Amino acid sequence: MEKQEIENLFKNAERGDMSALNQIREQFFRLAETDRGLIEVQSVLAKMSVNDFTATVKGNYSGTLADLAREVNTVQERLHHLTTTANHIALGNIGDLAEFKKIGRRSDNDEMVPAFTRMMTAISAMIADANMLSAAATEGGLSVRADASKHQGEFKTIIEGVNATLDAITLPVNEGIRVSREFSCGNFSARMNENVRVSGDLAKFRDALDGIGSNVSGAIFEITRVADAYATYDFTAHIDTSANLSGDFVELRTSLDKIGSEVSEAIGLVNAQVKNLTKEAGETATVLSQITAGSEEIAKNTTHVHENMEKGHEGISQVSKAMEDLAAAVEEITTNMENVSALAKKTKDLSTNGVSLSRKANDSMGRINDATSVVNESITEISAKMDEIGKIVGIIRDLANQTNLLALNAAIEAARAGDAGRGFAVVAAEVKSLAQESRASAENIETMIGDLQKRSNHAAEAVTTATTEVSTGSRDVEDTIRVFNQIVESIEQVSRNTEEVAAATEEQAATTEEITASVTEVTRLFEETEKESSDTAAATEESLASIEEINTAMGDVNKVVTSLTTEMTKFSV
Amino acid sequence: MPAENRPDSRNHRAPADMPDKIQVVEFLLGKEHYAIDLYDVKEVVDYTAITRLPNTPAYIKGIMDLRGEITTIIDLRERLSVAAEKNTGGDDNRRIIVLDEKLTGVKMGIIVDDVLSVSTYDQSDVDRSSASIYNDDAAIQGIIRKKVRVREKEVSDLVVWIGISRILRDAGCITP
Repeated sequence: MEKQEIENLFKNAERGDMSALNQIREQFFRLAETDRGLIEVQSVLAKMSVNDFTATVKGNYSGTLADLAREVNTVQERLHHLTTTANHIALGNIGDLAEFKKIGRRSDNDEMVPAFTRMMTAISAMIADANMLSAAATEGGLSVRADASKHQGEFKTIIEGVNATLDAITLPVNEGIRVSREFSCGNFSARMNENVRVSGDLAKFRDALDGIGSNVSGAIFEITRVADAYATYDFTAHIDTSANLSGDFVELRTSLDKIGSEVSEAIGLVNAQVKNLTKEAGETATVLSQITAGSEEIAKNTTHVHENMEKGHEGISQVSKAMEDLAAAVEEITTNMENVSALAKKTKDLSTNGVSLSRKANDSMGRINDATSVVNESITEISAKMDEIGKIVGIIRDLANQTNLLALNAAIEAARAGDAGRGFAVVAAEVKSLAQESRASAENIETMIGDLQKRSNHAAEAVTTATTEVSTGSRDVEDTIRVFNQIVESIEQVSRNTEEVAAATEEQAATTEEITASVTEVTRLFEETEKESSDTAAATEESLASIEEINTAMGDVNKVVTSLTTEMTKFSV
Repeated sequence: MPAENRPDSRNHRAPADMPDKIQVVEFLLGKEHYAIDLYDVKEVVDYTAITRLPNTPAYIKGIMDLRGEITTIIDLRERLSVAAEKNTGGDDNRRIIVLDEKLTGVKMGIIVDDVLSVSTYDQSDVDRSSASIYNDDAAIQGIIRKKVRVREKEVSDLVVWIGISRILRDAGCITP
């Protein structure tokens, strides 16, 4: 209510206005209520000022006072909520973060809710990293680190500290793992890296690992040296007593030294035996080579004997075969001789017959000769006549030619004479044609005569040839007769010889049989001898083979002894 | 050439009494039949020994004694460049046509391969139209169609009709 309004109200009441008085009374009641409300609000705010957020405005007010009470209660409620959240955080419970994120901020100037949100987010991130690192370490993942840059202020320091702690443990442990792995691969020269800083309990760990490495490498070096010496046949080597071997290595050293001394002793014995063996093997080889030479000589001789036997046998076989052939031939000769006898007789008869026939032929030849000379004479005569005819025909042809010429001239004269000569011209033409005919006939005759002359010449030639042939034939026939006579003589000779041959052949057959019998006996003897000789050869070969085997075996022994000797020289005992 | 200078002009006068006929002597040169005017021919004689003359053209065969008269012999085959027929038995089988002295002025003969006949032809049998196209030097007067029967059929042999005086004059054997 404005001051002027209140002044007016009081003025009206002074004038006795009842409504104004009522209005003033109402206003007083309202002021009393307001006063009561303000007192309650003041008490609540007083508690809140000392962080007591338990009290709230409980009175039932109206108007502005109701609004005030509601606002105060809201502040109380919010502060109480924040207090609860702070308590939750203090107890390690940041479950309110989601709710705060949801609220975001209550007004543009609200810093309270975002501050709480940021605080819880930072704490939550740190918790997450700490959880992550501890989980990884539990699983053995020592190389896992948290990202410190995600955190701020003291939180960052905390995470960095954790990382550093992990590094201080992880590096020596990793180095120890590496060295152990080298040891497991037999590399005992491996040592912890001196750049890796270790202290406290880890320093003990390092010293123990390096101790294993140096002890084992020393022992292995010494054992290797001795074993290498053994490998090169030097069994005089021993483990150096100055080498500080302990525990199981002591036993190993003792065993090795024992091997060396025992092997040395054994090899000494073997060496002596080998020398003996070499000497004896040499002697045996000499004896064996003498035996071999002897056996080979025997084998060679046996082979010669066998070969000669075979040759002899072969020769006798050939003789036997030849004798059989001879017997067959003698038989054939006998048969042939009989045939020859028969043929000879037949030939003689035929030859006698031939002689008489040839005589007859000779007579015929003489008669042919006579006839031929007659023919020859006739032909010569005919030829002469032909020549004469030819001459006559030539004369006729000349006459015809002359006549032809005369007729031609007569025709010319007649024609030149004109009508007066016309009759004469006819005669001239007639004469001319007659002359031409005569000439043609004469030419025909000439051709014929020519033909005839050719033929009679042929005939004359044929007759001459015949005469020659006949005289040749005559001579041949005479020769034939002479030959026939010779044949008869020869045949008689053949007959006589044949009889002689027959007699001789019979004798030969008897002799051949005797020889064959002897040869068969000789063959049998050869076969027996051959069998014996081949048995001998086989036996000799067998013994030779055995000697060969012994020789080979001996060679092997020699080889073994030689190599053994060579090997033995390698040992130093 | 003027008509009065033609040596054969007499031929056209001669048949005045029988104008439709010509009379010729036919002879053989090589394979072909030739003819000259009957009135240019004196007689036909056999070939006899001919005496050769020095330094004369090849067609002047030489000279011969014909019944006491020296006669110049011309080889017509040589003069007309006619090839000799093969298988003819040398000069002995050839004949000499002795020419009329009225034509030549001197005793003169021509050697031909054979003399065949004296023949008479109608003017209608003679073809003169083509004569002009032949070489003037051959002195062809016309071509005579000679009817011959060969196997029941009538065919024409062609006979070359030459003017002998023209040939001789061109050869310088007679003065015009």
